[in-house]
Amino acid sequence: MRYTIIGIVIFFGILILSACRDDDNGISSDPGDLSHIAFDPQPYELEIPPGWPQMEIPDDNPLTEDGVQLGRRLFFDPVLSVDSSVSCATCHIPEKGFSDNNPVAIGVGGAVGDRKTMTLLNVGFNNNGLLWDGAVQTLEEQSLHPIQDPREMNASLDEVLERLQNHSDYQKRFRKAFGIKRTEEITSDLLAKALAQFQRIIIAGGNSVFERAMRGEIAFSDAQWNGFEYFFDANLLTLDAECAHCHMSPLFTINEYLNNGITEVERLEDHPDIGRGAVTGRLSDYGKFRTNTLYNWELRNHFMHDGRFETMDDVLDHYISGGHRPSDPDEDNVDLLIYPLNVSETERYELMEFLKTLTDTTFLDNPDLQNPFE
Amino acid sequence: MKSTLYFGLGLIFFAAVFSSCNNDDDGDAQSGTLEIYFEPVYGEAAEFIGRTTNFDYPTGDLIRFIVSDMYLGPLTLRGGSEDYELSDIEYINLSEPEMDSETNLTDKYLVFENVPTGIYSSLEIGVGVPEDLNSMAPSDFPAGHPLRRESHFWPPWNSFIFSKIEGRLDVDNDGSFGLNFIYHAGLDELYRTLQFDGEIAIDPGQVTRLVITVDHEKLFVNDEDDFLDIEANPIDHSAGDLAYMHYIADNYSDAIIVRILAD
Repeated sequence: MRYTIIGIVIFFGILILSACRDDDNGISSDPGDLSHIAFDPQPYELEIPPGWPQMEIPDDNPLTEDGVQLGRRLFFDPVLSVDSSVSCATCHIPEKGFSDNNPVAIGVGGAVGDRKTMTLLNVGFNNNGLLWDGAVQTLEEQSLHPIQDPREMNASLDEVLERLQNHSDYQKRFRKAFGIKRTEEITSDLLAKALAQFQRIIIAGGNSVFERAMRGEIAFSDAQWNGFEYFFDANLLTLDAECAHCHMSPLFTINEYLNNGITEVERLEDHPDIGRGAVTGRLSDYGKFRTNTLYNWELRNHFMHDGRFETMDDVLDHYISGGHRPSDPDEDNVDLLIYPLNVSETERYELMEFLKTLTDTTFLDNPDLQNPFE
Repeated sequence: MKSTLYFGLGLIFFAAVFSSCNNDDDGDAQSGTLEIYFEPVYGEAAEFIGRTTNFDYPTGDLIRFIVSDMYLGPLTLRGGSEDYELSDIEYINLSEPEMDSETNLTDKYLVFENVPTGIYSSLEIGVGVPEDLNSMAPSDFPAGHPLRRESHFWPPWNSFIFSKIEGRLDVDNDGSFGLNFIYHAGLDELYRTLQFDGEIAIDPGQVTRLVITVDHEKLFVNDEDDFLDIEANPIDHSAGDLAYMHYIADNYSDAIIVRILAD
């Protein structure tokens, strides 16, 4: 009888300890089971500046607090590259306007890419394809490309997914973000969705001098106002610098693909990088590239798809010169608004003063955009 | 008496059954589809406008049209049992059209489905952006909407750009096409409404096709002594000087022609 009581006590003791173990550590006896981790998705409130367009967010990937935070972690984590040496943030550095200082992208082992790292500022508003040539349509689709590109992260998706599936912290985070029940449900689809969610919150420009002046909160200086008029052709009697045709407010891009005459070629087929032409297959699209946002250009350097212009002064030199046109008009697809401009030194200074009003570094104070590993 | 009652009830029953069958069969047969194809031409020339296609200008120079687009809205079928608005606004890019050699139709088209069947007597087209929509901005519209084009809004005008016509003129007659011309129209005063009379039949479940020809010669040239002096003013996209844009807008009625394609 005594032994029976001791046996019962030991049995219940083990039972209680076993139960305590589960509760305290959140670990199921099945290592692949994540269902014991709470899944309570809360919508992420996106702050879009007044007067800006609404962001189109796919129905199957709404922004959630946990989704954004997972994406943020993945974005800054080199775990996505073949040798864990390079993260998204290696090229898309927040302090550099989510771009970098190199003329073209540098990937794992110093691999050199063909094109300048695009800024991710306001990338969620791009509604006409992504990348310099519009080769992909959604951030979800785009997010997996750099991971697999041999000149960027050079990893295989299978390898990356295996790492994430075996990583206890990411297991929890994927569960919290997407409600998966098992580790093997961490798929490339969810990896892409998390990275896309994070990129959609990278918004900057709403607190720029330009936006604040438009809202009537502050006034432009005389030089900024004159530059504004040149930029937008707002005054018939002053310089028309033709800038806004391609860099229209509020996003300071029109999300279209144009040849701005930076490459001196005599035939369309001579373009060293045919850009949009590779996507559409149309000869008339050869040498066309996306017009980029001008917000926070001051944080970046090396402009254009191949980073050929180191400074904004170089960019102005180009547009004032009128760029390059082939001598054969049949081979000319340079935008017609690219032509030599007669700009005085004062006008150039004022134009630059206006361009500086597009700087808005307040996004760097957003804790959701900061490196979680620092 | 009883048999009459049964007969009457039977009739009602069959009528109800046939009536519902009729509804089912018709389904979408109460409507048809209207397709509108656009042909951007220059006078009687056989070729469409294009980046490398030359036409004769009254100055003796050769002219090329590289960009041509416009907003159209609303598009309304009139004269049926009731008027039917096909769309409040559409954007059509006429640049570099291509003709399908099999169908003889261009790749510049609009398709309207579920158009109520009937015989309509005219098509009314607004050229430009109507005032109510022109008081808004691209950011007011979702992605994919015709007016969500930042490239077609001009803040200094506070107006959408109704149309863009850009090209090159070979002023030196040396084949260099050294003069670029750029005409962008905006502002409510440049909005025009055109009406095209003609029987447009929308048949159940069928496709009716219209072709709209936009004659760029008629936009720029009234006659050999009355045409846009491109050299004198090659760039006109400012609100302060709309003379050229008025000229073009006033010519829409002659330059835009609608024809109904036979089956």
